[in-house]
Amino acid sequence: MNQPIKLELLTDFKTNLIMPKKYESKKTKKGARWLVSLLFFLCLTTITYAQTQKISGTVTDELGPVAGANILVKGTATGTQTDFDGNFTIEASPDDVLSISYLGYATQEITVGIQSTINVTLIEDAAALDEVVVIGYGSRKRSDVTGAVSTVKTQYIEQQSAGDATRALQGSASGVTVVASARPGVQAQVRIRGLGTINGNGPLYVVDGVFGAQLPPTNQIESMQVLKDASSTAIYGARGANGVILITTKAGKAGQAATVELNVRTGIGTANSRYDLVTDPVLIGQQIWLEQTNDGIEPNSAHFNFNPNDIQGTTVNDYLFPNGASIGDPSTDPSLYVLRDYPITLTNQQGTDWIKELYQPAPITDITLTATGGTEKTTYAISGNYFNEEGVLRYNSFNRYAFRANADSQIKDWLKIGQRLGVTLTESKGNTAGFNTIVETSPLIPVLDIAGNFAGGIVGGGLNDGPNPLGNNFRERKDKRTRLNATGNFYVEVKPIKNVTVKTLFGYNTSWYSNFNPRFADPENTNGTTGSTLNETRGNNFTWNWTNTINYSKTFNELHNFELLLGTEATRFQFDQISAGREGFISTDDDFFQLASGSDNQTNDSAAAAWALNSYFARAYYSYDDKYMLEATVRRDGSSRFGANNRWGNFPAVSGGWVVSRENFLSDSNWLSYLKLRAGWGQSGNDQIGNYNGFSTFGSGLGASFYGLGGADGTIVQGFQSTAVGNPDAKWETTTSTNFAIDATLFNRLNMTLDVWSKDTSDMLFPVAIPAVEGIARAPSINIGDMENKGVDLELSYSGGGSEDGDFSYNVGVIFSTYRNEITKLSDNEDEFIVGSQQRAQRYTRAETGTAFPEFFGYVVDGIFQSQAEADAHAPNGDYNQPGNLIIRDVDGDGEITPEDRTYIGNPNPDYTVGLNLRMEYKNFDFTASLYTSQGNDAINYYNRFTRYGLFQGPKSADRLFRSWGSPYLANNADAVLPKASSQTSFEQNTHSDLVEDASFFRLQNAQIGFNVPERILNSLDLSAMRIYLMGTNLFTITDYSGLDAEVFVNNEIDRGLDRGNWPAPRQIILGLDIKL
Amino acid sequence: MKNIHFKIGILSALGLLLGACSEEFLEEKPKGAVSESVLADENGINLLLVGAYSRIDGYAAGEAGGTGGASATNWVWGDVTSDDMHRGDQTGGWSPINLIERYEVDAANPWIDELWIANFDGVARANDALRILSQARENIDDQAATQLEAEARWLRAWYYFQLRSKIEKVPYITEDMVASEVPNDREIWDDIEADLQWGIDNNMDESPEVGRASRWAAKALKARVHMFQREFSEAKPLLDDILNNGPFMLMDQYYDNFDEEKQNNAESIFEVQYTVNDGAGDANSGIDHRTLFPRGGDVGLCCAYSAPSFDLFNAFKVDADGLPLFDTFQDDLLLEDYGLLDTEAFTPTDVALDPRVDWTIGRRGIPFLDWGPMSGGDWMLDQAGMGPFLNKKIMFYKRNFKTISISSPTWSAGLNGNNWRLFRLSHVILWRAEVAAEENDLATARDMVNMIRERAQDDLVMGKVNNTTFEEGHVLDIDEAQPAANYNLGLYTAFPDQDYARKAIYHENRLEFALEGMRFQDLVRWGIDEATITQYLQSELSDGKLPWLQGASYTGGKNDHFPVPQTQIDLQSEVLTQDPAY
Repeated sequence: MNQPIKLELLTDFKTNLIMPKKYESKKTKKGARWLVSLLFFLCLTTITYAQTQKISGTVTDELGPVAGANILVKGTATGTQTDFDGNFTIEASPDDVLSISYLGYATQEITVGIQSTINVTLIEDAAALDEVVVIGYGSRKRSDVTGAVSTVKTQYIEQQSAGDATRALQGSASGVTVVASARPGVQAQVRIRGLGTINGNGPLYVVDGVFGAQLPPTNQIESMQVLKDASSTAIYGARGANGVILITTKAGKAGQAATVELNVRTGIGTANSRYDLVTDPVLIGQQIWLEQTNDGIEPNSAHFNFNPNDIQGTTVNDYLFPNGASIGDPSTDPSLYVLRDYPITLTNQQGTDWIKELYQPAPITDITLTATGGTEKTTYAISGNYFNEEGVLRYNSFNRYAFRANADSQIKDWLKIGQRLGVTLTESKGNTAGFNTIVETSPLIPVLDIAGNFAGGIVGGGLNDGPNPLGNNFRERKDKRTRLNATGNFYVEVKPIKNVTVKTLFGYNTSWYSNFNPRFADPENTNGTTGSTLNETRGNNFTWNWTNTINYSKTFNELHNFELLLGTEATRFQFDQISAGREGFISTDDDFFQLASGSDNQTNDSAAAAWALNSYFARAYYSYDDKYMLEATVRRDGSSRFGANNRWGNFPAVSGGWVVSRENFLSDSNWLSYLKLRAGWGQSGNDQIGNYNGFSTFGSGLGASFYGLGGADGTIVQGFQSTAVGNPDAKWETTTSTNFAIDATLFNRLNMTLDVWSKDTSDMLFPVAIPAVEGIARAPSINIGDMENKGVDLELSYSGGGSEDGDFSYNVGVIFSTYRNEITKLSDNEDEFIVGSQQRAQRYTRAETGTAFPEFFGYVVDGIFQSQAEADAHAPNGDYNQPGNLIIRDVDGDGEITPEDRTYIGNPNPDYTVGLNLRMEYKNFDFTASLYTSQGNDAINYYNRFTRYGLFQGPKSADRLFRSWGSPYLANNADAVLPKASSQTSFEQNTHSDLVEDASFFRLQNAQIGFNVPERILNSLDLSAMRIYLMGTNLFTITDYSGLDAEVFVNNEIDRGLDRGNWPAPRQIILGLDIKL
Repeated sequence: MKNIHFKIGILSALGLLLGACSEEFLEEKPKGAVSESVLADENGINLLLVGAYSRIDGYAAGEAGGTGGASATNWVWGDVTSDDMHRGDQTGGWSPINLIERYEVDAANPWIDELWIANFDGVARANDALRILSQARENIDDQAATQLEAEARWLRAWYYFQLRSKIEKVPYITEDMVASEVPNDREIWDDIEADLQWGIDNNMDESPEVGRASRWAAKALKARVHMFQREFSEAKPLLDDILNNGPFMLMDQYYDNFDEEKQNNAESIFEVQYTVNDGAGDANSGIDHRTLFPRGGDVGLCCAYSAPSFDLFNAFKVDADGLPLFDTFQDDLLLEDYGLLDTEAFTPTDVALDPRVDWTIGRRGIPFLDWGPMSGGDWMLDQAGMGPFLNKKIMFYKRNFKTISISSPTWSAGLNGNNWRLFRLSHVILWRAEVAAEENDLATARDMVNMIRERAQDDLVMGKVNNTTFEEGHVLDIDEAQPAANYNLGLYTAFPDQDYARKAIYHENRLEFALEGMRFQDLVRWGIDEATITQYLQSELSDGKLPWLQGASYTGGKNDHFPVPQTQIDLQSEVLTQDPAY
């Protein structure tokens, strides 16, 4: 083999092309000579055979003629391509077999025989090995891929109701863990192959060659690929470590007749998931009776009457305000009513079920009109989309208007120009979380007081000050976040000589956003406000990338397939924002409520940032007889984010494949249709260390370094302080990944891909805490830690039925992913740990060397003390050890319960996730369903601290009244599920193991039944296709978890599994119609 | 192939363009920030100095100190730890402070972190100013440089005083040291004194801009530092200097010291400047004690986190001569409306009280400034857990609501621009009395104490409230011409002996400066912390009052100061050592 020569050439070629100085104009001729000789050298082994018989024919697909399909006489080098009308002519002998292939379609083989005309209809290939897989800066046949790349089927994406591509990744690609948010317009959290770092773990999104681009609406997506291992992501260098998601938008096909498609879907979503709360006022009174009696206090409350000896003797007052008033009291005369000062309010004798009050049926509408087509030279795809989803929680909604225009034109046979442009306008309104209000506001409080104003804690008498949840959401309804994004590219592709393609692409992704954030008075709230404020923010960010590639591709002797890619890339991001606020509005009328009309407290602020990346990359690919494949890539990245002393990094990868089934000893196998072994190794990086880690700076902040030196209110003078300590040595994190995989097809029906992988992150950046004696400044990240991930990804799909079995066909797909994550080193300090966000003096999650990222950390509960003797015998814990209280384990065995007894008590990372996708077709009917399960992921429902362990006076769980230790309702204290209820909070507010729950769930994500209108009706309607379908999402979820939704979505990775109120996934019933003209 | 040159031309052009990205392309500098060199002149150093001043309230937006652990008012470490104040609200709100009040602080308590981190941030800011000043000194006018240095040193001394008065093992770091390498292995009082003496020796300005430290502030702080070390003879000349040569005089009204309308007044030596409606949101508005404002229907300003103790209220009881009952005030403890709903009848006590009680403590049936009479348990969330009293000193007049208080809607609407008087003449007078008592100069001691008492004698809260219940819809019956309660405040005729003098002075400190963050450290420096607090706990928790605090106990020699935060020992394990008591 002449491989060594090639490698040598590769080096030479690279240095020549990358070093720009070689291309100074006076050296052009030398360059030309060089290129020509290279061409000569590479072409010299091409051999052709002459044949006598001329065969002609047409290649079509369901849309019409296919231009550019490959016709090859099998076993020879003779080949041709179809012309614009799909026609071809080729010379072949009767014994020859013609192989007709086109990317994305099943390759067909036809023996020539005596025919002189051969017409072929190509069939789209859903699962086949000929499927085209988009890879970094190129594409490749599935059978030639050596890295770990998953494809999410277009069909599957379109089946999602959310209109958001990130959610479509759940259960559709192995190795991908997705936690979706049910809140309209919020992207899901996507993690590829575990968690490679304690810093940013988000994958790199590349849309049509544009980095970090806004994801297009699902119906604009042509293909979505997930690059998982370093052999596929190393080409993205310092940004590839978390995996890469490549999205290509729909384009027209050459010679395709204009097609217009209308997709309409509309439906309704509902949610009914609840916290376990007692809303019956009498039972709430009994709760107070129980707590106070347990505390040895005679039950008393402004809103109840108690019999100290009988819990059943509890009655509820008619009025909350005036406290204790009964119907007919003169003090309840409506004429006395004054907002906030005299808020006459009846007790809601039924009990207000706040979350029920917040729920609403949520309509969803999604309309898309797409036109695609093409002439021989020019293709286009344009589309417009409107998407609207109301929230299941009142006063929230999400709107999206999306437009796309893609065009490509083959201007000369050597010159192609094209562009992609997607424009999206989104509007998100409401944006309320509002969950704390649900567990803090008493069900005694009605939605409205007697005057029709929102009722709330202002009624007094020991009701807590959670704002009226409905009032809270109502007031937030005008909170609006608008974003206009334009994403696209413009490229020029030149074929200066045969087999060489030179492409230059300018990509851009720019957003302008505007947040309108009013706050209105909430007089019903105990600490309520009477004035209104308005804050507005405007900003924009702009990322551009300029990518240049040279691609050389050539097959020698029908056996040696060689590809070389060289490229350079420059990327720059910039961001700018200003914000302003005012207070004091005499009216909250929409037209009046503008910044300029507020009177007080004028504020303004700004922020800005930028980063830049400069890169060189190369990839060489060689395959022999489609049997052996070898690929090598390298990328060199320079980033402004890295310190001056470590600006450049190199990211290499190699991988190989062996198609065992093409070996003689297997080629006759009946059952094993295809078998490939793959292996890959490589390194990619993570640059998510903030933009200015290398710099030491001083700065000023109104709240942090300004001071009222002059002594008068309303005046402060500027001061400066140290704001950041830089680390000029900081560099990227390196993730080394190793992948072993088997691709197999059995009986031509069962496809399997099994990947076993490991990912080791080294130089993990850790913001090593600065000792406080040095003052407070942002600590620089330093490269110090290590993280390990290991896992198995499995994709199975089985196709059954089809032509041999009549009209029935089906496909079953199983996606299985599992990973184990461990921090093998966090920093040089063994005791160092990182913790999650603080919630009322508790931090629930923690990670350190030897743990996963993150785990729950707290005390271990060993049951409830049943007797004084038992309590006395236990390791002392302040004065908490009492009958009815929790037995806290003395983990460190020092004979005393101290913070040192806290330990790791749960892991929010799933043991495994499985997606199950079904598709059945029978005559004109089709049925699809997708199921998803995540198993072994723990969660903490933060609100159980309130509802089960008594924090604040809001509603409580039924268990606290009926099944807590010492409850009169409990026959035997040994059966208690909760400790003794008390009106004082106690040790139980600490994080402990009874708070950790298994949040495994199993969900029917989606089921759809469709009907394709038969041709004769279509003809009468002059339509080419029409499909009607009925779809249901989240038809059922099986889980034992106590929160609103077991899919716990968090904003910060370190808080994983901490549920501070999650939008429950709605159940949607949607009717859809697709029409093709 | 005739186009080949053209095409290759394109290729070459492309190649050239690839070269456009030079190393310069990768130079991205932080926005809106400067490097040290930009600040190396008089203006820049002054900006750093202002930054160091801005830390004096213990709060900086986004940084440690937000809950109050480093508050300039010292309400956490000086009041909650003492016999004067309970944490209020409800016990679930903030759990670490429960441990502080129960004397169960360990090195992991996050409020200790706050105390340490925020004050060392102040030290570091002062050191930044000093370090850059020393580099740029030759370009700065000598007098200006001296003043900058003196103020920076004063600030450094103040932050160290905050630390050292609570934590015994503190590393003293100056601008020329590598901060992370300085051990906490020696006493630092002398270093604090030296920084203050530098300003005094170098004639720092006697009356600079109002918010800045003057030479008098240096003398007052230095006297306080000496008092902490019982160096009375060294404190004495400083105190005398302030009394005799300083421009300060007692304000007419006791309450002027807490009234925002009278801030930066003639009695004030140094105040923490708070501002509202200054464009910085709530960040400069006393956010370090934002949770202390009362809550409830009539004064819903926040969370009532500061609850004066039964013990403090009873300490205001006086005998027929209007003199305190040093040893017997805990007998027949007045509980006021503890355990009563506001709809149940109650009449405030008619026992004779020092009138300062009703400028200090909010209680049922007494006008709460101009907010109307407090109506009882509905002004708080958990009367059973915090007791029936509220902190009045941090309040402001309702007539100034939204002018001196924050006008932004926020959950603690009581945030206000009322300054916190760190040093005022009344401090100097009572410290001077203490020095006199230690010198057995009992007449001077008595005169000094009487000077303070005399001012408060006729400063009465007016408005006798005749309502006994405050059920909703009540009509207030207030006799504005009558004092709100039975007040009596007499002067001492003589201090019979040194022991009596000490008692009188200590008690006077308690009454005059109640809820001002000084009590606990005063008890410690007087050496009566263990006896006082043990007796207080016994009295305060009798009859099952305050269930959550039951079982608390005080250990002298340990609970009188606090540990080095564990987080910092972890970070500097080779350098810092833990206090042996922890």
